Amino acid sequence: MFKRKSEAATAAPAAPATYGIMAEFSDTDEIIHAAEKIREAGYTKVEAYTPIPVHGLDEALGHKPSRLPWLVLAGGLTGSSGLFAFMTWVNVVDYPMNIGGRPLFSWPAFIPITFEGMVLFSAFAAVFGLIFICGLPMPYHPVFNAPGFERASVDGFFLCIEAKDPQYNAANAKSLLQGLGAKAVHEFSE
Amino acid sequence: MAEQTEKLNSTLSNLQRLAGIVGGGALVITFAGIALSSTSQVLQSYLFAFLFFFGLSAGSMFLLNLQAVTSGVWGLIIRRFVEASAMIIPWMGLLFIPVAIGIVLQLADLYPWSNPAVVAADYILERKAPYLNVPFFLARTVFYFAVWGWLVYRMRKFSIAQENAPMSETMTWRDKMAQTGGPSVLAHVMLWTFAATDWGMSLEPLWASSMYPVAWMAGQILTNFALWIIVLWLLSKNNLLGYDVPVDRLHDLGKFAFAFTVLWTYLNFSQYLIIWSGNVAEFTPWFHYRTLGGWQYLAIALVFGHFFLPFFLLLSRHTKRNFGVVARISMYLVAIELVYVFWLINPAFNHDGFSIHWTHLTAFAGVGGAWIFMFLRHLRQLPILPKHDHRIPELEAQLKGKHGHGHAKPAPANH
Repeated sequence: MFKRKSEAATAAPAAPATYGIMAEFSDTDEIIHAAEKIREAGYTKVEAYTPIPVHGLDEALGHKPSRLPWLVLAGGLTGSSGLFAFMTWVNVVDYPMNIGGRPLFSWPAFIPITFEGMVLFSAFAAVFGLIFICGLPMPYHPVFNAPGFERASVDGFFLCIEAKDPQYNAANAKSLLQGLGAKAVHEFSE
Repeated sequence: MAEQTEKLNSTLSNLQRLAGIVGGGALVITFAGIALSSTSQVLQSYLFAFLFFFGLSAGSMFLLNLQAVTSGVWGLIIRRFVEASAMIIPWMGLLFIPVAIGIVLQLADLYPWSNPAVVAADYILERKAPYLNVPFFLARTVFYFAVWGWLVYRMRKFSIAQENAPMSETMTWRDKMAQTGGPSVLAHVMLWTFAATDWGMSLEPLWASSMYPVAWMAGQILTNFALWIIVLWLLSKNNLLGYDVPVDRLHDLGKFAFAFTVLWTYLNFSQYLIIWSGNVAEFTPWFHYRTLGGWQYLAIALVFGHFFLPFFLLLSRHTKRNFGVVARISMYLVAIELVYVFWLINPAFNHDGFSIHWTHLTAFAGVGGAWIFMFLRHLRQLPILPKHDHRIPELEAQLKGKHGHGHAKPAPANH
C-alpha cells in the first residue's frame, strides 16, 4: 500500500506493470479441478474469487490454513483471564466488601463475566483479526481491472495467476487455463 | 461386499455371545454380593449401573428422533446405532425389576421416601407422600417404559418398512419418521425429566432442582456422540463398515461432541451457581455432600476433566478430523461421563464421604454386558447402513468427492 503511494508521489508515467492473468469458470467443480491442475503445474501465487464459499478450494490451491483461529484463541484467553483477574483484583484488593458472608474471592460469581469476556474478546479478535489479515481497508485492488470481473459477486468463478509467480509466463499460463475449460482468459495490469 | 457383511455378522455375533456371558456372570456375582455384603450395597451399586446404561439409551432416543427431523448425513451414519441403542429402553424395564423388588419389599436403603418410618418422622416428606409413594412411583415407572417402548417401536417399524420398500418410496417413510420424530423428541425430554426426578433426584427427596434432568441429559447426548465415533472407528479399523466415513461427517460428530461438552458445563455450572448464590438451606446440602469427604476430588476432576480437557482437545479442527485421535478422545469422554454419573448418584448413599465397593464394578459389567448384548442383537437385525434412506445418494456423492461439498477424503482409520 505504502509502496503504491510513493510511486504515485514520483508520478513516473511508466506503463503499468502486469498484475496477472484472470480466468473465468462456470461452476464449483470446474474451479476446484482447475485449481488442482494449476497447482500441479507448479504455480504458487494463485488466488480464487467466487460468489459463494467453495468447500475444498483452499486445499486445492494449496493455501496454508488461516492464522485467524490462533488470533481468536488468543483473544478468548485474554478476555477470560483478563476479566477474571480484574474481578479478583476489584473484590479482593481494591474494594473488599462482605457480601452475604461469602469469601472475598468468590470465584463462582466471576464465571459469567469471565465467559462473557471470552465471547466478547474472541469476537473482537475474529472481526478485527480478519480485517487486519485481509489488509482492509483497501480502496484499490488491481483485480477489478480484469474485464468481466464484476461477475465474481454474481455467478462467475475466477482464478488469477499472479505475475509475481516465479514461473509466470503469460503465454503458458493462458494456454494452461484455456485447456482447463476457462470461459474467458484475460491478462490485466496493476 | 457379501463377504464383508458375513464377516461383520459373525464378529458381532461373537461379541454378542461374549457380552451375554460376561454380563450374565457379572450379574450373578453382583446379586451373590447380597450374601457377602448387604442388600443395600448391592442395590445401590446396581441402581448406579442401571442409570448409567439407561442414560446411553436415553441419549440415543433423543438423537434417533432428532436426526429423523433434521436430516443430514451425520444422522445417516449413526442412525442404526442410535436405533439399536434406543430399542434397549423397553428391555431396561426388565432390568429395573430388582430395584422395584427392593423398594416394595423394603429390602434396601434406596429411596428414603419409600420407608414409612422415615416419612413418619419427617414433616416435609409426609407432605410429599401424595407424589412420592411406592405404588405411584412404580406406576409412573411402568408408564415411562410403556410410552418410551411405544415410541421407539413405532420408529423401528417405519425403519424396517423403509428397508424393505424400494428406494422410490423412501420419502414416504422419511416423512413418517420425521412426523413421529418431532413429537417424540418433546415426549422424550418430558419423560426423562420425570424419570430423572423419580429415579435419581428423589434419592435425596428434600432436594429439588429443575436443572438436574436436563444437565444430565446433556451428558447423555455428549456420551452418545462419543460412543458412535468409537463404534464407527472400531468398525472402520477392522474393515467391517463397508464404506469410508467422509472426514467432513466425522468432523460433524466431533463438533457435536464439542458443543455438548460446552452445554453440559453450562447447565451443570448454572445449577451450581444458582444454588450457591441463593445459599438456601434446602438446596445447598446436595452440593455440600458432593464437595466433602473425598467427593470433592470427583467434583474437581469433573470441572477439569469433563470441561477444560475435552474443550481444548476438541477445539482444534485437526483433532476432530483425525479418526484415531477423535476416537481416543471419545473413549475418554465416555469414561469421564461414568465419573459424572457416579458422582451424581452415589453421594446420596454416602453422605459421610467417598465410598466405592466391588459390586459397583460387577454391577457395571453386568448391566453393561446385558446392554451390549441387546445392542448387538438389534444392530444385527438390519444392515449397518440403511439401504433405502433418502440420504444415501448424498452420502454416495460425498464418497465419490463430486458435488459442491466435494473433496470427501475418507478419514484415515489406523492412526
